[in-house]
Amino acid sequence: MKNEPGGNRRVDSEPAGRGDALHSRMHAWSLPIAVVAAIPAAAAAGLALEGTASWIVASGAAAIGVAATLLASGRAPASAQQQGDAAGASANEHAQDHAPSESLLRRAIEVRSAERTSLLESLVDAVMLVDAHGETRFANRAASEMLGEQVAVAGTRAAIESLPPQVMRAVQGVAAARAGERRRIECELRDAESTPVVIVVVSVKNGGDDLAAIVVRNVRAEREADRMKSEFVAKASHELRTPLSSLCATAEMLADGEITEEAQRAEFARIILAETARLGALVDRMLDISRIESGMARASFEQVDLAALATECVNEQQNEANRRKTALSVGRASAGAIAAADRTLMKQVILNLLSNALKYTPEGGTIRVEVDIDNLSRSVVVSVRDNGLGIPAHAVPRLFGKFYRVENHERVAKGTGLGLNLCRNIVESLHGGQIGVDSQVGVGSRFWFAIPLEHAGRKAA
Amino acid sequence: MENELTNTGTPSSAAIRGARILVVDDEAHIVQVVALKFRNAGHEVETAGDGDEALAALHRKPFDLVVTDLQMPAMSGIELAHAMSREPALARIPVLMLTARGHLLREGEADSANIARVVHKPFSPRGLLADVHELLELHRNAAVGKNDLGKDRRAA
Repeated sequence: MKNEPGGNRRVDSEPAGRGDALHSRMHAWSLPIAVVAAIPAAAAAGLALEGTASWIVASGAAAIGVAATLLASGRAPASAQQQGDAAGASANEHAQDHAPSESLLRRAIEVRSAERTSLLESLVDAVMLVDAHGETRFANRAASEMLGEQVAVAGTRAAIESLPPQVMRAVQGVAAARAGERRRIECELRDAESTPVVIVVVSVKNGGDDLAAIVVRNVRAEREADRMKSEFVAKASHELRTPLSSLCATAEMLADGEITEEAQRAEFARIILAETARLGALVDRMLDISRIESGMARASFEQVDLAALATECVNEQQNEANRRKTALSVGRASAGAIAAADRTLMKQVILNLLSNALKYTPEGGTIRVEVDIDNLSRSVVVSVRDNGLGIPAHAVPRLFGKFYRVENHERVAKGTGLGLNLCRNIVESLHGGQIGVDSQVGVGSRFWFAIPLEHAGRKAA
Repeated sequence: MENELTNTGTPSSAAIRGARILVVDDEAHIVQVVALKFRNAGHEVETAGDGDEALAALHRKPFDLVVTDLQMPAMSGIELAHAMSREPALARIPVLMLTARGHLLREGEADSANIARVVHKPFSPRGLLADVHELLELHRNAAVGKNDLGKDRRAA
């Protein structure tokens, strides 16, 4: 051991420029310095970044402090008993009769240190401890991974220099302030990907030392989610604006008294009704999807005979099929195709797939619904086959996304661009199933979905 | 809102009648309403549901103005305007672009084509008619100027 037991006395780390990163890390860590953070696993899993930082500070002195005090005084204080932790308790046993042996206490410190080190090493966030000059005292594994191996070398400025300059200013700012003082910085790392990060710098006092803990969190996933959200809002507002335009224009013409003929007035009223219905359907779909995605929607599971349900849907769409001169039928309906599912939602999915097939299959086409049991995956598979336009391969990956419409299909029929996304949400999120499509342009498509025979953890009564 | 304020039926706009206007939009209801508005104002209106149909109509007979939606399947309004600009017979016809987009056209997007104005959806048919009259007026004056110039050159 290179450090002498001696209260909170800091033992300078050896100049570590040549040492390998892990050694430097471990070396810096074997010192009885204050920042030994007990960070709960939840913090690593994504609790507030500032919460992580305050844990480092709050639990800092307390962590090894007890055992260190014992070493310094040669006896176990009463407080050790209250700590109720391994180090305190084992030390206390010996304190009953005589002063604890130094080696035992040192071992307790080592055990404690190793625990804290492994906790810090397991964090997803980069955690570093630097002094007021920006020289590294400690850097965890995530710091090396995020900023490069060199940042873990104690006694160098590699860590602070790998971060944007405002971090050093923050370190100087908090080091001069009282313990717990913090700065929060949102910036990008100077790496190839310009990783967006949130950095929290917290003042840490250790004996006479002014130190700063730096916690760096990669927020790329959050930023990406934000971007997708704004993209959704932009697309949604575009989709909402189109029916609104028709409504606005039609209403203005009526209000201006420009529609003089009775028949024309009725026609304009019909436009208003149709566009209102379209707007309503769009809003309903958006709400349905957002309720599922936010976890607010619940499926009410029951035993559903999907073959019977498919037949029911086909019968409902028969008139529409006749109108379009399309042959619509149930091709194969396996007996016992019974799954634990939400009947209403299943019907919504089948009707949606049927309506798409009808829309994109030219007159004289054939649409066939098949219901099979797949024994391998223990699921019921419902397929809707058509010999319609087909979907180009490049469109397939985006087909179940929001507001995506296949180029050539747009001119054939109107749609919200949300139907298949809702289907996917119902099948995959609410039923733990799977949805997909096999298609060939000019030949036709087979849309299918599979629902587990028994929904995991939700056996229908 | 802006449109309503600017459009209070100026005498000059009322004076223009009988222009030949092509209305292009994949939204049938929009086409229907806009066409009626223009017809009520005394114009001759043809309609098209996409860019291909529009080009076919433009090849069939002469037009004074094209009102087109920006976002249409297959051929966008911009592509239609560019296709027109490549044909000498159509290059001079002013194009009024309707768009539901939240943002303006990208810089340079309208440059090589004769996109004379952009109107955002939802729009007021009243305001749209005022815009159309203004463009027809501008175009007529410009055409007169150019014709005079042509005559002068021939005379010289």
